[in-house]
Amino acid sequence: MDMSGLVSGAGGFIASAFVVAGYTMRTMIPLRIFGILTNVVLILFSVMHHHYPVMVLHMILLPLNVYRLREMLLLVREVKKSVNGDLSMEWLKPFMTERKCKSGEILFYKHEKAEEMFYIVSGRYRLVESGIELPNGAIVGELGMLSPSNKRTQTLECLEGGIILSVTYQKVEELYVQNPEFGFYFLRLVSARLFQNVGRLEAQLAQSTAQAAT
Amino acid sequence: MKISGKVPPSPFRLLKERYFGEETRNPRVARAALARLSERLPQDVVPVVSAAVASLIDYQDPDYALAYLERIERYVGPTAHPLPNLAELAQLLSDRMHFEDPIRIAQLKLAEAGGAAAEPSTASIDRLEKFRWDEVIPMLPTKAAAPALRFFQRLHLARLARRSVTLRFSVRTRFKLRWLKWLAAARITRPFSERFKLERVWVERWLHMVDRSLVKQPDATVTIVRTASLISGHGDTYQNGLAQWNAIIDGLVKPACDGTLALHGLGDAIRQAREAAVGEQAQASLLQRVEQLRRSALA
Repeated sequence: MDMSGLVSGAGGFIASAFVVAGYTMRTMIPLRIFGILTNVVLILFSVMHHHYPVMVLHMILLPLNVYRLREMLLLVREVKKSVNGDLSMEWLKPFMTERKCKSGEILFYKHEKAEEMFYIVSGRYRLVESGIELPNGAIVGELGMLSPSNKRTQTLECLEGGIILSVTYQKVEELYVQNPEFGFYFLRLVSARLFQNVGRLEAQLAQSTAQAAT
Repeated sequence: MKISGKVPPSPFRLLKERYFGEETRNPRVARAALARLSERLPQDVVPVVSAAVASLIDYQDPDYALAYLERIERYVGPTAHPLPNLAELAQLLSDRMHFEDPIRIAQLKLAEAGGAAAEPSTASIDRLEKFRWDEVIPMLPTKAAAPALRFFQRLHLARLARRSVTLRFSVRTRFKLRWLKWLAAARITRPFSERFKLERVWVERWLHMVDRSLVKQPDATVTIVRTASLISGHGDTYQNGLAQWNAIIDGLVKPACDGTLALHGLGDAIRQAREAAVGEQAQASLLQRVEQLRRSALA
């Protein structure tokens, strides 16, 4: 009995089952995993049947799926590390776009609708209303994404030209929706930064109360 | 028995809401926001704001009217600094948010000819308007306009971008009327344009200066609000007004608010600078006057 027809037929059914399973996935990581499995099965299937255009297509899709899966897994790992570590947001860097800032340029105004967050790479930047100068490596505007009013609370001015990285809230939202694990850790991270700010303010208040008492 | 229930929205409608904000682009939403804000506004401001909201919905869309209301709202409420000339600010803000681009002129010409139901009329007088290339190019989206303007600069042809281009707005023939309607309908592309972004930044900068003066130099606030009247129209008039405004703000208002220029009579200084600018196309006398004022403040 010729088993090759049976095997190739079964291969076709398995590949179809993977395609269907892939479409039922709601989030990005399982979707990519099923994508990779589908690519592998369809490469084998197309080699057996000499369907070279299908094979070429899946040879292109396979590394793409692997790359995107790795990117997503790395993102989750970095956010997790950040929550348990220094609360930095450096993990966002690969998703940010670089922008040059000139001296005197205003990055955003107070009351303006907040649409993106910034990572300061170089140059000098000052929050105009409070007069606070921000150090290199600081993230500005991450809380604006979660605040109900979505408004800037300060004006940010560039004092000395430099480079900043920016990412739109829409991009972060996309990452959040595509990957619930990332979303969970992102919320924990932003809450931790908020609590850190509250703690700093409480310490300042306690210090000024003590000064007033003496 | 028939069970009546709410029909779930179609995927098409959900996609429309996702990308075009169905909820806010409803004029009813802008009118409801206006009604809520009117309760807190001084009586003399309400008619100005109501007229501006109706006009901005026609000019752009209800979202744009909501942006106007949100800007006015910054000056009312318990935590806001009271502004002595809020009605004037509301009018000037409305004027600046109705910036004149070719789409605006097409809208005005079409309204004059009878709106959407307009018919070709040979008796109609054509409207010829002079714009500058650096006003027309920014009607493109930012990603296209910025490289185009950079291209002019790289070839040291920036002055070509400052040249005028005459546009004709006519309803004399069916074809010209159709073109006018298309141009007026292009308002939906306006929020994606570089010009829209630049105008938004300008308005925010003006309001930022007003806010800062309220804290640092409250006597000068009324005068700073009025500086917006320097900018009007389109073409050379607009660019000249913008250059004058920038010269006054960069030379006097910003340094005074930053504390780097001890200018106590800021309001008077702005008035003097504006007087020097009257009737001149280049900014020579204005810049000279600003420099004199700065020198006397630093002395």
